[in-house]
Amino acid sequence: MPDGEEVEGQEDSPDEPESPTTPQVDLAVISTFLLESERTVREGQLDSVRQVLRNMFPGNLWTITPNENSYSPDSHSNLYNAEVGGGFRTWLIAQGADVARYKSAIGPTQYVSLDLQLKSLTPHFMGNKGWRLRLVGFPSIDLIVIGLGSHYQGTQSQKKMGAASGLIREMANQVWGPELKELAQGFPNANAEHWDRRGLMGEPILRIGDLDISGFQDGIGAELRMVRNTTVKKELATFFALTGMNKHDFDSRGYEVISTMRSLALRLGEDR
Amino acid sequence: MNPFAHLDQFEAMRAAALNGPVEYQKFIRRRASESRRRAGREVQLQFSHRVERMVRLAIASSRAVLLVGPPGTGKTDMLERIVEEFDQDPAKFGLRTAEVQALWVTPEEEWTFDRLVLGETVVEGKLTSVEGEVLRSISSNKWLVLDETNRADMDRVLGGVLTWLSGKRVNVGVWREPSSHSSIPVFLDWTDSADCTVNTTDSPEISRVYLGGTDWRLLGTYNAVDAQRVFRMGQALSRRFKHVPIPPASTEDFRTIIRGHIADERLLSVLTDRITSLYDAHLLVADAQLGPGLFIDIPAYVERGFAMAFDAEIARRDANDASSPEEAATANALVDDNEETQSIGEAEETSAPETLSGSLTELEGEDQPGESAPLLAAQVEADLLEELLAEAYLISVGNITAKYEPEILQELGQRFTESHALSFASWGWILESMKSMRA
Repeated sequence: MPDGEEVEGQEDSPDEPESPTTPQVDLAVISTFLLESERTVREGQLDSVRQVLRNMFPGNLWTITPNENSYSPDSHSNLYNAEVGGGFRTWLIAQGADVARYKSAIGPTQYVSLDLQLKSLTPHFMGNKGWRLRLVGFPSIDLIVIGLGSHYQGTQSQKKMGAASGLIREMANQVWGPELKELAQGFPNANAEHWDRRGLMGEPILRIGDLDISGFQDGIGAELRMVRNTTVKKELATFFALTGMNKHDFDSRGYEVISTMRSLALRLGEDR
Repeated sequence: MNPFAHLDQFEAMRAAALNGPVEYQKFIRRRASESRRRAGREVQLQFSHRVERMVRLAIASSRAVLLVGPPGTGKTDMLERIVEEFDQDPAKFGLRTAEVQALWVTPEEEWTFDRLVLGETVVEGKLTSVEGEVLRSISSNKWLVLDETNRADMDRVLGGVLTWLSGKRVNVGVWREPSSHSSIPVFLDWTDSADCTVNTTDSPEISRVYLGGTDWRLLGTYNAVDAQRVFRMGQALSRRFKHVPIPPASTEDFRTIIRGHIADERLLSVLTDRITSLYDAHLLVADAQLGPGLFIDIPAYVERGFAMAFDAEIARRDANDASSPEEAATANALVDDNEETQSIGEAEETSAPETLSGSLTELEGEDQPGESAPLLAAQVEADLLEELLAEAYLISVGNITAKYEPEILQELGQRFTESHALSFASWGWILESMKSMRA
């Protein structure tokens, strides 16, 4: 179904969330796409993904832009030797997992995202400028991040970006007003816990790809820095409202979260 | 304006946030200031919409129009804008002329008929006629705009032109050329053409005729309040003009307008209240009404005054820090005196009010000696505010109020002090200062 074409039965008002049981909103289609590591497979899923998303984000209001971030040739060794941290690397070595094994476990794709931007904000393509509602999947650790974020151009420091996101969040709270501000309380602005550690994980993540890490520190689980590079760290720092879910939770509860984010985004997009 | 709803606004906010909390706060303050300015402009536009419509339609349909109202109501600005509108699209207003140009003059008390209509001078020893403003406007096919017509005795100055404004041909004098010894009569008359022309006719007699076109206009502004003390317009002249009243803004509208002219958030509340009280007092006293235009520069004066006082205090402290122990001891004694003043102030109040200079250092994130100590004591700031407000009022409005009758001044002073717009002492100082303005 082409973008912008109305779906039968859909109400005209986009900020009226559909019933969670509406069959057109099959979030499993979304989560499968976001957590698919192979590009060729994702390409075949894209049409279905757009159809599902258009039920929540009609074409007259929103642009939908799929993105992906693949690991570069040096990424895996950089992750293994620097980002993962000495303790985990020592454990990996003890398990006989070298760089090649780690690379094989993580796979080729760092993240897959679906970026939803209000057309009122950017009627024409403006590159990375502005803010957007993002669904970001990390295939290697079964993690989907949902949130509102901008872009990291203009800084090389995730700390600075994170601090800026905090200030942007303050302004967003003012724009939202008391009710939406309260609704947004469950979705904080990004900090180091989110872009480095376990702040986005509801439960410990015990696998990195096909690598079982449940034996590491009594099942403490993966940190995000084990699978993301510095660029993605900065991207995450741009979020001024975010949360994380695994696929199971996304498929069962994700609709409510996305609806809330959509409401927050729509209010931010209102010129008043 | 919601910065998230506009890409450029969002990017500006994002860039300010990236520069840290101090820069971000500056951005927020600038944004708030711009928002207030916009609100003030919107109030002014809403307020003047109907009035401007009256002015446009009066000019479109009448030969002579006067805008009448107290000073500071924007009569001249409005007329400039509207004349410009007529020039951009004369046909829209029912005119046939191709363009509209205006000759702007401000009558003076000493003006005579010669100056305004037809005069004479001596060229190479010979009497030569000189077109006055009226004839000049006709010969150049320009509208004539008399700004502040109350400054001259227009009844006397316009003379026979009044009859011409009624649509009749009138003789306004004789024309003398230096090259000839003869003189020919000069007439003002009208033509059915849109544009003005000047003809020399020889029938029934040789004469020079200035013909006003159908699209020619005589416009003016008139300060009805000031006229109490200058020149009233007589009935005969007054009848020839359409009068469009330009009233001053209401107190509530003024409050919104003045907020748009206050840049400093720290002074926003106190200046809005005090200056609005000044304006309101004028509004309530008969023959003392003034428009917002005369008050809008007061905030800038006060803000600059505070900024200079803060800078001076910072310089003084820096000098003290670098000075000898003896000088430091002296300086500390002065500071102690200041603190004593502050404690005197505090004795009268249950708690010391937050100071502007204290919030200044907090906002700027600067470390000042005795970090939490403000630059100026609360009482010093209060006294400074009172002084600056009185000074700003004097230089903005004093030249007008200086000419008020004593009863009006008395009533104004009473309203000022009762509303706490100014202290009794400040009003006394203003009255004394205005004496030198009554020349």
